[in-house]
Amino acid sequence: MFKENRFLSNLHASSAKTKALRLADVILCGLLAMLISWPTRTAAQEKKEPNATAPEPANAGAIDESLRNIYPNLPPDQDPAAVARGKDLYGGNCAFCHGKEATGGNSGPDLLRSVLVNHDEKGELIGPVIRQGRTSKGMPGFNLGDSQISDLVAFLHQRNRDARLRFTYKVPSVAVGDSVAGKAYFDSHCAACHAGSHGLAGIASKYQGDELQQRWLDPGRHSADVTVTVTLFTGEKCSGKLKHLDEFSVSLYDPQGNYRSFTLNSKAKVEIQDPLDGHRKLLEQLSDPEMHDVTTFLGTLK
Amino acid sequence: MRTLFLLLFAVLSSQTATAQNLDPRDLLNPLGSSWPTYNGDYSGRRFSQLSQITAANVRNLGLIWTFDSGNDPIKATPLVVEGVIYISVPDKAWALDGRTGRLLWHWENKSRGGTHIGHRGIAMFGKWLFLVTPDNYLVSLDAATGKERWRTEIADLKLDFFSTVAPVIIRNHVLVSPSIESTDNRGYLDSYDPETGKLQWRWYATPDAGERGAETWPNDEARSHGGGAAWVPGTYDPELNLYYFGTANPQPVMAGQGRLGDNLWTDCIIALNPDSGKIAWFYQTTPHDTHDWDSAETPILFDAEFDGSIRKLLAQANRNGYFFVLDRTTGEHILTAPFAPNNWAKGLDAQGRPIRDPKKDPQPAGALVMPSEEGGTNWFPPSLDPETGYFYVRVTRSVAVYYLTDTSSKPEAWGGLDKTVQRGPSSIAAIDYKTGRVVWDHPTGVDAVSGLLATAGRLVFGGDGSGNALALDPLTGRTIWHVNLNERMFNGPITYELDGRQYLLLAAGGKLYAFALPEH
Repeated sequence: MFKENRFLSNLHASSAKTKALRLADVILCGLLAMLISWPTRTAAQEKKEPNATAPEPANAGAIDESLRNIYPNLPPDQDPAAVARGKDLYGGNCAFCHGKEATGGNSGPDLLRSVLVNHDEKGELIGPVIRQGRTSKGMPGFNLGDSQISDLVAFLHQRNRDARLRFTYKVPSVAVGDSVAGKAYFDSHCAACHAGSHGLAGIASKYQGDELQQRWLDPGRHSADVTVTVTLFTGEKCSGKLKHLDEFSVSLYDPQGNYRSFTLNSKAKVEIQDPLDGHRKLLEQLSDPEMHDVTTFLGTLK
Repeated sequence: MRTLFLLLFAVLSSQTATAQNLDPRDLLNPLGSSWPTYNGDYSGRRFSQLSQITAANVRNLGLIWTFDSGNDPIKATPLVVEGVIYISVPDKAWALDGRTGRLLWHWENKSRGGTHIGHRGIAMFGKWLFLVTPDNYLVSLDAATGKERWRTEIADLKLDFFSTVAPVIIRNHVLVSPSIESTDNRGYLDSYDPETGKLQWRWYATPDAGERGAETWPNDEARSHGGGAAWVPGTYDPELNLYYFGTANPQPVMAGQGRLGDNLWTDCIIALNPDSGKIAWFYQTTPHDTHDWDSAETPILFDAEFDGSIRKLLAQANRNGYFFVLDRTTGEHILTAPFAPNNWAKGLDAQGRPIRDPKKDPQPAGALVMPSEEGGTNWFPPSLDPETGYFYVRVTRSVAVYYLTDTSSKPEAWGGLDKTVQRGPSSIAAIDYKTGRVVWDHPTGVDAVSGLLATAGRLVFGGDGSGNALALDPLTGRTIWHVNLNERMFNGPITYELDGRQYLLLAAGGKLYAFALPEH
């Protein structure tokens, strides 16, 4: 047992002593408050300078604060012209050993995982290695000028940045299915709701590629309101657009736009109508080929 | 007046003599009136013997105090040692009076950056506290003052490592491990000396060249950059002297074509000798992970009957949607059962490991996979009640399209991404450890993320997705008590006892709330 437990069991033995010590604790807190100067920063002050000592990237304007928080050493976006020149130089001088994508080759290491490249900011570490080589590991020195080195460094840092930032990854074509089969699936599973004014004509002009696939699988809450009907124990019914529902309460906007909320108990009944139910049910049955077929078909609705 | 001064002086002296102290040997005891480690005790059960708050009186709980830490959600589990609470968010820690919530001290790290996604908590050894910072320092503080004693760098920030884990103290070992953001690194677990901050040993999460398991990688390059960060605090069996923890996904995360093979010891439950840092056994919950499942969730230790004999067991509800029970002496597989909808596996192999369906690997045009990267559950602390034999876990049902974006033979970092097409609903579920069957499932709406606590008062505490703190019946999952705190709970609730009074301590958003029954 902890010391604290023994201490407490002693306290239990004498209630009078307990009271005395509690009083003592109160006095003690007051005394300490007087003796010690407490940190007085407010939450608002803290928010202003969350990372006062974070390193300033060379091109601070191009990187938002949250990115720098996550990737303190994330290379800034490089000048595209320099990256293009650097890519050519890389292809001619480096790719043979370090691989076409700088991810390593038969004799040269992966430059995206390289500790040295990751510690480099503007070529101060990479430059000397390019110029002097690493003869012990079989890398010769390269007689390149300052601007060429700078272009190579820009290429490497851009490669590194692109590999790290998942949300910048590009999804290749999703239109790999059979649009005839996709139409058949659509007719049998979707057309009941998506006819007439709910039709999807022109959807492929609005959304393309994986965004189109994403939108039809999950149209998003904003696309359709959930309606709710609450039946109270008096028999009174109230219907409208659902605002919130949990185990203990339900709230809605009625057709007049009035906000109504109700505490739930066993006597109240709540019925939900969600126009997106069909989409959710589809997700449980849909095969990947069917998904690709439907996306391919929808891609023809320009 | 003179008398009063003397009295104050006397009280101050006695308090100094009993300054907060935690002998590591005390951690061998079952969870009592304090909460001295991340999981309360070494077992990871988060089951408290305190029984003043019961199903019969929980409705009488009143709010005793609150503490506002600021805007960051509290994901850490507080420590409670000798009446003082220690709580943290990334880069910040506070000591509070457990009776009043009054601030004793505040510590703040001047950060160099790093992912600030969460902080799991603090550890205590003697009069010292230990915590990690997002920019990869292990920092030791004086528990009495919050003054920094020393800091030591545990990982290279420029390689995208960051740190969130709550350290685990075993005797004179401080066990910590960094997380991996996206750069392809080799994960590891470190042991540091609590007095000096010197590294005692490092265990790498992928084998060395020629070591057993190295054959599960296609080459040295893939193996030595293969990931496997251990980012959730583990559990410990003092009799076997084994530390149990889970490792995370292999790197690159979603593109597996450059690392064909099982990729040991990523996505494993590991049993390690804490003195030598040597592996005793492992069990891989997802061979060749391509969905970022990890195996980081808390492995809970308990001794219970299985097929007629009492065994030393380990149970884990894994992010991949499966519940595992192992013999923790040998690592022998006992049971695997799905607890959350999933479609990424075709079945189980002879060792009970899910068999990956390659069709559900990330695909260039997308593969529809349950669950999403969020997982069937995640790091949220589960709980096990030895009285019901139920394992309580947060469950999420989700669907995502997983895309392979890097189709080269040598992908980097993530190499793919997943786009969620259905979020939630979540629930709190009770799993019978003997069968793996979900006995009850209590819906908690979308996006509920709290950890769980079971008590001998026959209650299970947790939260829902609407900012309600809940007390459930451990046998049926029925709601017995709730209070709306208007923000979601992110951490695991805890309980402690002071002056004979049991407190329930919850965090919702960035605030702590202490509840107790009325005093007579």
